[in-house]
Amino acid sequence: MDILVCIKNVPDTSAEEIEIADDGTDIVRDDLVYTVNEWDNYAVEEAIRIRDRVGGSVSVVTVGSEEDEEALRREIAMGADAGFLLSDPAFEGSDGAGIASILEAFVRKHPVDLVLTGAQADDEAGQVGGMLAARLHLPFASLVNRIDIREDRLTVEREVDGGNVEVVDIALPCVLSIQTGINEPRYVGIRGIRKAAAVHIPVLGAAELEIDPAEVGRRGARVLLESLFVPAQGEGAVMLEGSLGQQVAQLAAALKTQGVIR
Amino acid sequence: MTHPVFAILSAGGSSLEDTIELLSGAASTVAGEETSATAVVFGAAPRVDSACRAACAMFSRVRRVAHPVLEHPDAEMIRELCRRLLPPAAIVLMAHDPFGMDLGPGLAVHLGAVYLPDCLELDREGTGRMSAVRQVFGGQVNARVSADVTSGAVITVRPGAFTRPEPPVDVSREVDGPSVASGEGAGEGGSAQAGEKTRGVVPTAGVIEDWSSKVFREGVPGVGRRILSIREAGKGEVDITRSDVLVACGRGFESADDLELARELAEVMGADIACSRPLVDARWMEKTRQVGSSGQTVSPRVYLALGISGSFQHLAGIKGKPFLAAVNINRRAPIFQVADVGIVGDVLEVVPELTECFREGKG
Repeated sequence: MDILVCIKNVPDTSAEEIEIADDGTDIVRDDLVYTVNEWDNYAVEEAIRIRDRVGGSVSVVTVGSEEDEEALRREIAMGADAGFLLSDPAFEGSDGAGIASILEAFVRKHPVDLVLTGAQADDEAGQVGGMLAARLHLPFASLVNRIDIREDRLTVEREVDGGNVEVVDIALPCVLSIQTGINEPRYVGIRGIRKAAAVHIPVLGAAELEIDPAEVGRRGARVLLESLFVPAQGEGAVMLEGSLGQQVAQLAAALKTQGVIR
Repeated sequence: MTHPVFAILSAGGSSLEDTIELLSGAASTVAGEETSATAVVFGAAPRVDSACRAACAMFSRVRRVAHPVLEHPDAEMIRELCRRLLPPAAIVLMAHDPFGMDLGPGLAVHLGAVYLPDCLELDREGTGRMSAVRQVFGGQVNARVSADVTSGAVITVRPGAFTRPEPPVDVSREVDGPSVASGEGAGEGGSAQAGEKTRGVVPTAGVIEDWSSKVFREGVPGVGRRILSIREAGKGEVDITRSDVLVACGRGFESADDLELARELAEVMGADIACSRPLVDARWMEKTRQVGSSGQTVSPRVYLALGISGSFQHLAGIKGKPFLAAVNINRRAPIFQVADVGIVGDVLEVVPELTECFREGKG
């Protein structure tokens, strides 16, 4: 089975205090460490496991710039067979629909049996997989946390509300968005990363993909980012201050007031 | 031009009442005064009928789309049905839940509409434009986006972000009068039913119209996907939905061994241990201890969130407004937007201190 995984290189913001840039339309990215979007990493691991079970290949693709090549190499080090960078000045500023149309153009040139995306990335939209499927007229399932192969079809499980699971039969080829926890992504060692450094990663632009530059990028975007802002703290949030010991004592007192510890 | 507004509801949804309220709130925001929204309810009888009645409480027009194939409402099927019934340039609302996330992006492509996912706020911005507020970067930052909606929009709405608007018609006030049909503010749907007998003071306004035969005239759409079954979540050793005090652990714990610190604290506090999604993904905790929209919904008196960033999916699992204390290394973590009291710090340092503090207090 030939599998394509669409990935995104994202800033790791979990332990960082994000600052908003002066013009108000981006975050300050200089000091942030970039990494493969967590959901995408699960998708690549799943693709590798399927390939190892039934044969075929795993390709990874991203829409971005030179700096994003590193993310493709990381996933090749993990076990993907090939990486493709879709990059062109005309792609810059694309909205979700623009990214989906760039990926569509790529898939039409490199048809596969199965396309995987992460369920969401740093913009928390969860949109590219479903849009890509619709553009390719392929069936789609989101939030997948299990895949079983049944000849030319798949049985997949979708995570729905309350920890319930929707068991779905879906025809191949199809597009699935992958939820975290579907597997345990393997560790990527330094040796693997070194080996992947030599792999050639083709770069494809609007011309190679036969994309009309007016349809993508800023020019084609119908959804525009106006501004970023830090949301207000909750009304009652008291942030404790002082030494660690003082803060902990205050927290303990607050919890005791609430009747914790009988 | 005025865009017709539709709210898409699945009769099989797990929190249907909440979704109806959410979408009616969002609909009144985007519809403005000159138009009213239509709810479209998909499902199989008899569940679709109770869902339609529930929708009537908050929508003046309800379209019923019923068919046995919609017993488990499949977003792939419903997307095709939506293509048959929605007019051009419609504003289409649905919840940002596993159903809406399945349905929405592809529907936007097929309708040629923009897609606005997971919206916290919505505003109309003059002709053909709309703006929305969404969370980005793990909820640390909000984004205001604007969209060209001249060709319509598919919008998924954050559960809980919109509350019930004023009901379109308060029939309970008008049942005595014979001239209700011309009641002020009554939409076409409201007036048609205003003479009907009402029970108690439930404000009902909507009229149900069956669109099943219209939508299925061309037969059942062929789609490449079918729901085989729904498997219910299993029960764990401890039922955290009944816990009075919860110590909930998140990604701030860097290894499974570190969780022992939280267990010691929970023991001295008389609390049960819960967790957020990453610890289940890492196989450090059982799924039955996970709080959130994809886990358990809890309603403790006290909730101590340790190393939990506070994604909306996690917060969606906390009901009943407990006293919420949070410890997180990141001052910008969204958990502090909802906490009553917070410490910015490393859980691995704070937790042992807190345990010690309680032990001393006890002794």
